[in-house]
Amino acid sequence: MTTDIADTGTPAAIRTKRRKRLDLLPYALIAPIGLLLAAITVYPTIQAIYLSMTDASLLRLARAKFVGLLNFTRMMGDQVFLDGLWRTLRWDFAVVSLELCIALPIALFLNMNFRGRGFVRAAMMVPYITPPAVVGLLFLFMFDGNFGVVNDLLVRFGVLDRGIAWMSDPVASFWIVVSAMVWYGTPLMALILLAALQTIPAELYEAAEVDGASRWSQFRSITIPHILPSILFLVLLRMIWMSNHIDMIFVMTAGGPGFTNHTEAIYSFSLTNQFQIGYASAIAVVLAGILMVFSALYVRHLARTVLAQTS
Amino acid sequence: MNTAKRRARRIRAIWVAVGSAAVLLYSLGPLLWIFIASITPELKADFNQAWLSNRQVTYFPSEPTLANYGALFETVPFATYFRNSSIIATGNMVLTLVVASLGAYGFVRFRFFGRSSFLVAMLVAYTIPSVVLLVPLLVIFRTYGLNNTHLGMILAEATHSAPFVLLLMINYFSTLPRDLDEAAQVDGCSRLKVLWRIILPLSLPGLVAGGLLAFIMTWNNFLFAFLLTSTAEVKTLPVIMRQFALGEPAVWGISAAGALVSTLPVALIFLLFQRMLMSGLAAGAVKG
Amino acid sequence: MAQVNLRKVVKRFGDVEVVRGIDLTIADKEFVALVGPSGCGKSTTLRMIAGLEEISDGDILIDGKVVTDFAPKDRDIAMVFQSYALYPHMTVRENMSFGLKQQRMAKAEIDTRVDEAARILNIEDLLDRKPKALSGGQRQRVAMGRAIVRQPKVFLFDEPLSNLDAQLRVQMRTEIKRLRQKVRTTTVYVTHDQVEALTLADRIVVMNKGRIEQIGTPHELYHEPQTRFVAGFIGSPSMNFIPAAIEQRGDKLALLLKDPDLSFEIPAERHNRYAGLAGRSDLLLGLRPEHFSAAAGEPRPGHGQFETRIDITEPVGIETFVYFVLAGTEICARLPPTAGAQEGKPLRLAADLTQMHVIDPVTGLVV
Repeated sequence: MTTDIADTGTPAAIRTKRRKRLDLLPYALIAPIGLLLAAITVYPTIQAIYLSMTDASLLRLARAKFVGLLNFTRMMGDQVFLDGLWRTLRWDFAVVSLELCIALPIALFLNMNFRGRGFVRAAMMVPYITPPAVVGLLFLFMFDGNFGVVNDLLVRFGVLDRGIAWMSDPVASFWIVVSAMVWYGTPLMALILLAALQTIPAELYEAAEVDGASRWSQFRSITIPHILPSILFLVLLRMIWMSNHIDMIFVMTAGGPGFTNHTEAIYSFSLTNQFQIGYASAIAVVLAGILMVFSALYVRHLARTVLAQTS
Repeated sequence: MNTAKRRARRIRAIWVAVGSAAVLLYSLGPLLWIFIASITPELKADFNQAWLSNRQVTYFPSEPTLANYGALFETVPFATYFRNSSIIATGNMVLTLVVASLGAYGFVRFRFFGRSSFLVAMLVAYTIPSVVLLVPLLVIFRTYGLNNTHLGMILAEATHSAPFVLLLMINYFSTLPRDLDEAAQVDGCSRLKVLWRIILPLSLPGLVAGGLLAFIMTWNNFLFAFLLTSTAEVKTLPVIMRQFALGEPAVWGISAAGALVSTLPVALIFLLFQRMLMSGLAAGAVKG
Repeated sequence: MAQVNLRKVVKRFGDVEVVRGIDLTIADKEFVALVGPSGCGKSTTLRMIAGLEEISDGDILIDGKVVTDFAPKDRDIAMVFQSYALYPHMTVRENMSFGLKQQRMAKAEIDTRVDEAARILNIEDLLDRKPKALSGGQRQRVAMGRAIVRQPKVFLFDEPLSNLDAQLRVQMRTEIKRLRQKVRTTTVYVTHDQVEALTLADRIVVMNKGRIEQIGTPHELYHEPQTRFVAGFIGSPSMNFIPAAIEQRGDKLALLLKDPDLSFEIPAERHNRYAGLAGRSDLLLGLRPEHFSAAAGEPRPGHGQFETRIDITEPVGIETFVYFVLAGTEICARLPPTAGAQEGKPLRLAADLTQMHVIDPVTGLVV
């Protein structure tokens, strides 16, 4: 055999011109989910934007008129709406900070190695598995004026003479709903914080031990910096979700007493229940717009992570 | 220094015990309370009355009874609601698994024009607040007659579950080595067959986690169920909680029983599949 | 006739040409090895033959048919992957049967083929195990078994031994050779290990930066490399390249080295070849480590003697690798342990100039 590179003696096959063959299969694969989400997310969003510029009402949908930005100007003068912004923020902060305060110690605790840890961790998750509507009912029950265990305990221990109708009091009802949400949401926070804690290599602590650092300073200079990004991210996400939340608040209070619990989302929802869907949409669109700005951070981070991982 | 070490260990054991007890009490206490309420005979609920009369809080009923559970099915169409929840949750689970698996396979294993746009679009759809979807979905459903149907509910619930399970499956599929695909292709499989015979069987844990999480998400969802259904034929369990909260039926025991039975299936699923579900949850941040 | 033809095959990733026009003919039942450094395009070429990589330009023919647009399953090929790619959820038998099942072959025949292959490869008692219960060598054999049962027109091997430890690699190399005695099929074998290529292949294709540097039998590549790259790539330890000049001295040609200043007479049989280089001082002398020896007495015909100081010795048992500096370059020589080489001490060596090569750095070619 020679080292001649030219081909010899091959059959006279036609040299095909290379043209890019378009593979349709991947498009067929992403079509189902793409179409599904387009139909139930994108299309409704566009609808919502359109509706927000009409005076539509569920009662006479066919006779909705286009009113331009009227709903939005109405919003600016609507006290409930303006208060709603504040109430939403208040709700967000209360829930997320309480969750963090409880979840962090739990996560630190579960990070330790002890027998039965698996069991305790599973038990810890239970509140998050419970349907939020049930959680709402649960807390209503516990704080019930007549049969609430809280009242009963307080009276028995002499703190109060007689039970209080918690849910009728604006301040109390706010904090009770917050408590319910915190109870429901802490497990998720704890789980994610725990995952973050477990990525810290043990050698760092060991090196600090050898260097003579106290437990507290180890915590401050090793633990906190490592989980701070996760915490910040988690806080951002939870605040976005809480701003959007309706279920529990509605089940427990329907937004009351009065307008105490009327976060922006609840306001939109109750307007919907009152059939004023044009205005409700406008509020929802504004709320969503604000939230999407923050969500964009999340989307960008997640997109980068996934693309890096799958390339 | 044996005694010092033993003392340190004992202190640690005490910390562990105290911590565990605290976590357990915090997490399970309220549910325990409701369980007790459900087996207590005849507690009438009366939220809407600001004045109070006899407090009848019993910490352990002298005569525990299961009557409440029976009454539950008689006073409200509980069985129907339970059935609806089951159908819708299962249907959503199946739908989600199918579309998410196909989409994830396409995304992870193929290079195509628009691939990253697709991902971004999915993520944006995932993060659209459901507030803004409520009204249009209501309108659209009415227009297309999907109102008060199981199918409609299954589709609506997919707004939450589909993107989440998609991300989960993308994560999972990307851990499977590409040359398994290639070996199967050389062995004679078309790309769809590769998915069916190689990728999916090897992804079973991920599929189970994703499917069950979708099931739980749907089972627990209140908002869409409340909004998009008006007849008992289609309503799901969380909707009953609102009814209970408004004080009807006016027997606490029944409400408590209802709450417990509503929670039981998802609790059971969780208990059986804890590890898988917890890693699934931690992997993709779940929507609240 | 399972001939494989590559015609002007090109592979582009975006704007980068990874394979730049390969022309290659592999005869029926021939074992061809593709060797080269990482990134030279050998794996990509193999994958294009397999159909796992789209071809940017050019054609591939198997058995006379243009398979350029065919899916892997339509090309009648079988492949052994570097990481074996055994299906983890199937037993060994199922792994081996999988391809045949896709062809809708009768169960009885599948079993016959699987048993036969298992017998050839000595994995009969592993048939019911799953891949995770197998050692590296066993997995490799199962991967080969999976390929054999298909009785394809072409076997493709993608660096199959790279994941094994050194000892196992040598063992498996022999296994592959033994397999070849029993099953003769056209084979394309990719490796970065030139020893594997030299021992297994009928012909070797040396690739570099997406192009073929040279195709030839192991003998040809060793004795008649055409480019500097091939000269330096084939042979372990690799050929020494020493800056040198060629001068015409009367009717003889002299090879001149600097530092220390040495001059050797170029053997007569090479005169014609190198005559045209007289007067150039920018050439490279190529001499393999095995073509040095310890000098004793008068230089033999065609050998040149010189004295040098040994820097490092590496005794490897049967011989000693000796390193010294000549003309500003570090040279490696293979000497018998009895040569008396000692670190730091001078030694008189002879170079076998009948085995010399001269490289023109301007063209990169061996003259």
